Amino acid sequence: MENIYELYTPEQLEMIHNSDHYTMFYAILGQQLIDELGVEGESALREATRRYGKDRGAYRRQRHLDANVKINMKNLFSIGSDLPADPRFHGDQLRLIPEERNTHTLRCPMAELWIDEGYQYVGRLYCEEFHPACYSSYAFGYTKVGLAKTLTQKGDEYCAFNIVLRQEDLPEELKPVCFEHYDPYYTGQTKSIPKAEAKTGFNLLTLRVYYYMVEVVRERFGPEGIEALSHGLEKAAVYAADHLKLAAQAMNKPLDVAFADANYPLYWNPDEDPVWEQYNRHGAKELLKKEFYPVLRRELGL
Amino acid sequence: MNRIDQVATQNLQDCWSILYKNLAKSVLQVRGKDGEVVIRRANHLCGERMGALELKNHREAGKLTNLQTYFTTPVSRCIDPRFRFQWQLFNEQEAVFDVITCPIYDYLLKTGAKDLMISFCEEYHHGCIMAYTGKAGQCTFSENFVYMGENSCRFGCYYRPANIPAAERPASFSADRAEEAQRPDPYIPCPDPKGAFALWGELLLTCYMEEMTARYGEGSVCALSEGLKAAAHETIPYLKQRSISLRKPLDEAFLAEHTFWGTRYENRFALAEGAAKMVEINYCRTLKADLASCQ
Repeated sequence: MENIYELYTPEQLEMIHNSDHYTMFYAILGQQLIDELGVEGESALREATRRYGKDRGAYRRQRHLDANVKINMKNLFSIGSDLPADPRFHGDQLRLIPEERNTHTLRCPMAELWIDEGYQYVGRLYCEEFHPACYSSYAFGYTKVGLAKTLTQKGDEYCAFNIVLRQEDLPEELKPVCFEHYDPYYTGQTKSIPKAEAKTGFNLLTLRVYYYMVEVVRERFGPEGIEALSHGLEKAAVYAADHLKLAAQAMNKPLDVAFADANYPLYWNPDEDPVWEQYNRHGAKELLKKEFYPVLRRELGL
Repeated sequence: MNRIDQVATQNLQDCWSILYKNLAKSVLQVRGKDGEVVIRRANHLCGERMGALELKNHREAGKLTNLQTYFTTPVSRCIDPRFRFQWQLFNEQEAVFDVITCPIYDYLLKTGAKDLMISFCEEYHHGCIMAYTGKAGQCTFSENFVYMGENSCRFGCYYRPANIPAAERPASFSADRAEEAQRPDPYIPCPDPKGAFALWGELLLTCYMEEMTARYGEGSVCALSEGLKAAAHETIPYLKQRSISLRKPLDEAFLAEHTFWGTRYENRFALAEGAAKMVEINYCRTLKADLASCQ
């Protein structure tokens, strides 16, 4: 296994830590739902993952529409990604045109971590539910998502994405929204869309995937489900603390609030996180404050 | 690859490919690029009808309706033995495989129509699995040898107990978690290949007629008459070649065994009267006339 501390810059390491914590936060909570609630827990996790995917797809679409960007596959995968760029990620882009995006993901740090930590089933579930929901939602429900080969699937050596938006599938009124050649008066993109940064980017993702888990679990199970999520939050906090300690040691940095804040996707003080204003229902933030933060602070001694 | 009892099935598949190719081309010839809408919708609808039919077949037989059953127990479908699959995962919930050889693609490629393959693959199989799983499954399609640099097609079908209501799970799954199953035999014998391909052809034609009518109005199905005639015209030279290879005369008896509709339409599956007449007039009679002229 590679030693990331010999290969990457401090800035890249912050990105990597945020990415890994986001990955494991999802996996630990998801696995807890399955372990405690069985197939109904899995059902809730799948639904939460789909809602999260739809939310991200709709968010990307709105950002593109606001910047007068056409809603198509080329733009989805080249303009303003909401997934911060983990330097360990490697892909081979075979085709990127407005109708199609064909890529092979040769290395995915999320898949590697899920497999290494024993969460392959949850990781596979994520790939199966998130990607179709997200890309389909982005293009008004008309995207065809081909993802039959993934690093999270047993026996696969890379992920093969074949994401297509066929002009023939679109209703007439959406064709000019999606493709330039249907819009003769198109004047081009009006503003730039910045790529997601490590902390803010992964914070937005972590918070939202958690929010949808709370939403679905509350809808379907009530207090029994929330108890399962609470157990997951406790485990996630212990995992986070252990790995923040290791990271600080490896980077030869003091383990203080500043370090934790820079290297963990959730804000050290959730009341300073503006994203909660938009995701303030179902008691999600309160649950996190009650079940996650005390354990994290205790374990870190901060 | 070419066992004597498999040859007729292979020829029936090619006759079906000829039908698909010519129906699709006839739509494009009359409607141009806009016709691609009809082709995609009709291919998807045809898949939906086939998937729904298999679901009904399996339910009536008291089988669990999951992916294992779908791929090991075709009832209304007949699988051409030239298909070559490399299975990766196979169980009640997952059917993941690479298609190494596809006779439909081979025929379209050989006759300069490989562009019609993508819309078939993307739509038809998706329609089948969606209908069979009550829209709770997935049929994804990642790689395709139509594309440069790819040398197989990858299909991933998924159907999860967690994605259907608890009350429906016992009809489809033996357990919440799936154990790997014995992979399907490379060759699944079909008791009535001719009937299966006749049915598939009828489903295809009916779906093209419905989608043409929905988009362009009733008169528009005339284009499909031309497609049926063109299919019959292409079928005779193809079968002539096959009869030479098999050292048999190309006659009514050969056509009766190696084509699914033949020169006299039987309407075994109660095709609507208008559609049945279209097949009889445009396909069967053309086939008969071409047969007479080449003898």
